[in-house]
Amino acid sequence: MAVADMAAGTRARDTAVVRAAALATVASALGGCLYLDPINERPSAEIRRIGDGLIYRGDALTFQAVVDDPDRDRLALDWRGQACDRPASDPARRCSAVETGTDPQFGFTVPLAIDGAPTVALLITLDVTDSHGAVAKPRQALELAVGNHAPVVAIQRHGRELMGQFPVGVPITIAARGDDPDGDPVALTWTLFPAATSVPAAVGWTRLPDPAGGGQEYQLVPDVAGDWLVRVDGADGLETARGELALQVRPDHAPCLTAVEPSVADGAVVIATAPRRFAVVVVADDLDLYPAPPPGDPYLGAAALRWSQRPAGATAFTAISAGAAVDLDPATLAPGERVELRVEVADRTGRWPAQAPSCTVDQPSCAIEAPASCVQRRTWLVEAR
Amino acid sequence: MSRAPWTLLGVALVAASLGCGAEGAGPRCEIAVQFDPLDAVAPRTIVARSTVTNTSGVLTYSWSVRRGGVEVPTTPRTTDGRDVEFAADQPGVYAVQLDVDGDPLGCPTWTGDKNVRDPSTTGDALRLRFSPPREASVPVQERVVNVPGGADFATGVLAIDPGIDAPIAVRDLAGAAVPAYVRLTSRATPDATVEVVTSVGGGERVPLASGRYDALIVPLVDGVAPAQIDSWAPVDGAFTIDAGATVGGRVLDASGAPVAGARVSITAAAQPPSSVAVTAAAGTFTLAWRPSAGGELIVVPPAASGLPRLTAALTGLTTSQPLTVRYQPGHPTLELGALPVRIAGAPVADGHVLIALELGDVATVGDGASTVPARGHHRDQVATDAAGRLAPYRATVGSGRAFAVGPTGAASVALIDLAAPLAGIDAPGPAALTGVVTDRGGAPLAGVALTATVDGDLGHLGAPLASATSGGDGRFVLPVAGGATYQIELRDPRAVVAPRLITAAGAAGDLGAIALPPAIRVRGTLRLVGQSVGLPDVGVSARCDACTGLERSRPLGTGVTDVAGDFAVVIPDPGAPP
Repeated sequence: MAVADMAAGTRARDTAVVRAAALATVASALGGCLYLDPINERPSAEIRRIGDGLIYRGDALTFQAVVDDPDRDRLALDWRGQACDRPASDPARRCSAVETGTDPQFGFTVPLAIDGAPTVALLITLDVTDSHGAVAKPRQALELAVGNHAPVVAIQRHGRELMGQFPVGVPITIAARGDDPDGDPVALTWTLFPAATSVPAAVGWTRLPDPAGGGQEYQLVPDVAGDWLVRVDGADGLETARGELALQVRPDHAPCLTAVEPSVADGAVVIATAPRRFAVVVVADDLDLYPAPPPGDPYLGAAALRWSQRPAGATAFTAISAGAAVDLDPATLAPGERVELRVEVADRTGRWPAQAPSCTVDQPSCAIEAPASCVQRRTWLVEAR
Repeated sequence: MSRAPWTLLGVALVAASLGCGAEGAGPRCEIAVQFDPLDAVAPRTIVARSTVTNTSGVLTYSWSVRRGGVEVPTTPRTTDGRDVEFAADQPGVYAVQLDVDGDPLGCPTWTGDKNVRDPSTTGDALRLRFSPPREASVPVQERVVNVPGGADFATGVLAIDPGIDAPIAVRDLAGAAVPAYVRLTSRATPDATVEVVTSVGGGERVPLASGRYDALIVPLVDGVAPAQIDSWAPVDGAFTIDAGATVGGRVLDASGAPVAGARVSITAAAQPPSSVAVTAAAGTFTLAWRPSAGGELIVVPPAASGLPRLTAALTGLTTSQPLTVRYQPGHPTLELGALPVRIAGAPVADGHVLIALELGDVATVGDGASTVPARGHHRDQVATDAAGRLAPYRATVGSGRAFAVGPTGAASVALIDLAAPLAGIDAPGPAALTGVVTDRGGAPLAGVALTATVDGDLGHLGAPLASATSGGDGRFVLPVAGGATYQIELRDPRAVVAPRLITAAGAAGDLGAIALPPAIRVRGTLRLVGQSVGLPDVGVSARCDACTGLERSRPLGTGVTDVAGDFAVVIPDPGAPP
């Protein structure tokens, strides 16, 4: 016995002995000499899987034939492994041969698909025949279910993200890819859940060319601030997986005059004894900056600056320039004469402090929105000497 | 509940945290890399030698060298790879990275830059000015860096002084607080100034980098004189100023009548100015001043008088004696109010006119013993009404120019001669400056932004900027006021070439080809002294170190530090021929 099944073997041997004894007794009773032609007995067989656990496509499986022949005959083994697209209960199922074998050990790799359909079951059969042609019965067949790995959906965002937030009206690229451990193609289904106040017609939601690295990409241009959600369902034909991406879209922040020169307290006197330069050095913003970004940036732009002046005694400021700096020559003023020099900044939304109700004309600095430390106006009180 | 269990718990937590802190303490792996040669000139083989300390075990070394983003192969010089060499065939910045594996606790990645110079070019000194955001309370500072030409340059890590919060106070001799403007100029980097205004209540503080400062103090009240106090440090305490010397006198018109309401002051280069006096009804004035050589008396009569502004060198006069400023006869004034102002025949409605008249010597200044001439000029900005007529304005008869500016920025220059009957100020239509922007090779450059600023005697705060962008063939058309002098900045927003500043005098016509110099990129990392992380949102501007005047304050290139403190500014290649 190749692999002992001691109890079964003992039972088979006892049965044969009893049968032989009975035959001898009958023959003796009939008289004459007794000739006993040996009776060939059929072998027995059993399939045993080496290893355990759930079976998935792509797994390497090994089976062991557990066989016996009472007559100690040579046995011929005939393994056959088939992969099926449906369970045995489904009459429409199709199975396809994967591997055959004749050795006591039989192994094969679970195919990913049968004629394009995922493998969901395995049928392993083992026929054992002894040297006299006796076949082990019943035929050994093992039906095994093949599990499916659920797909995995990865979803990411790319855009002008600051502290986890995106500005309104600025494109956000969302990339998703479905991966399946079994190698199944993963079909992606996209669902956009806009913020509550969004108007569908105003939302930009466009599929982009598929990235070279796989997956799909969409471009979202949110029309309003709020909490947005992008859901991507991935299906491999057997199971689904879901990826969700929450997007915090916030209104475009007002730009900040972060650094100016000369840097003095707002409204404080600055003495000009020689021509000097008043300049914006840094504008910090979520989108519109100074120094301006190189052209062609998909998100960023240049902050808009406006300079104005108010001579002593005047009530209103007069626009003078739109650049980043203004040169003031004190020789254009009388000694001791003062002039207020003001710079204001706005981003692409065009919200100028001069037009903001919260910024009165006499405020040397002001912020059109919180935080108050982010100002859009700076004023110098320049005195010529 | 009794506090004892909580106290016990607190003690236990502290003990536990101390235990955690002690675990793994001790020196950690450190990597140092040295390059040979120190001053590398392309082409050259560069040797990088690493030293790893505070480690144990067998280490493996992974080097990466890149120039302009392109990998440069390295060759091990030791069997374990701790030292490598690479070929620096081209000048520029070679970014080197070394990862060391094998340390039980892990070694940090080492990164650094190796500058390799161009042998065919020279370099230049550059001022890098760092303007931190106000909220950072870090003073403006500068560093002078010698930048070799011909290739990009890395400054490495630059650490600036976080500064100290220094009290600034100005007192008179009696110890009373004086409201004053104080300008502190670093003796180490004179362009990095700090300005503050003190109050009667005192208590003003400013962030100051370490070192000594020259202080200009301009009191904002009478009775004390502006002062210059050199080599001051916060440890020296409050500034004390006195009344200085008194300069008195009177201002008389051509008839000998007093001129009331005239502003009078004295300026002197590199010296504190005087106080500003306004003449009384008797034409008298009294100034507080610290006499110095090169003083110039400035008199600005009230606009309604029509008298010109005067400038007179005080050399040869005794300022301790009363000074008499007397306008000379023969310079009548003329009322120009309601004069129509037109550009190309169209009224300049709700605009303004800058009237610039040079009058020569129109007055004298005397101390009783000597007399010096005083030059007169008008440089007055006068508004126009909705009909394009000049607001009430009186000027001394002379010739000069009128720079008419409409409300939309249309501008033009008219020559005026008040000696002849004047029916109006008629300026020609706007002119145009044309040209072609190219690189040094003569290839046209598209997309270059041109900004023209009025310069010279017609420059004033209300002078409109002119701007244009070069087209695909490099050509541009700048709408300007013919006859004005412009400073034109040409800047390539892509920073492929460096910006350039040119002056177009008497502007109009074709400037021909304007070649922009090649650019190099200067990059580095900014940190505060004592900090290992970068300083973000700091304005970084590269400025000429050899320039003077406003040129010295005009940036050659600008940038801002990112969250890691890294910056890059594009400047004209100092190695390129001018």
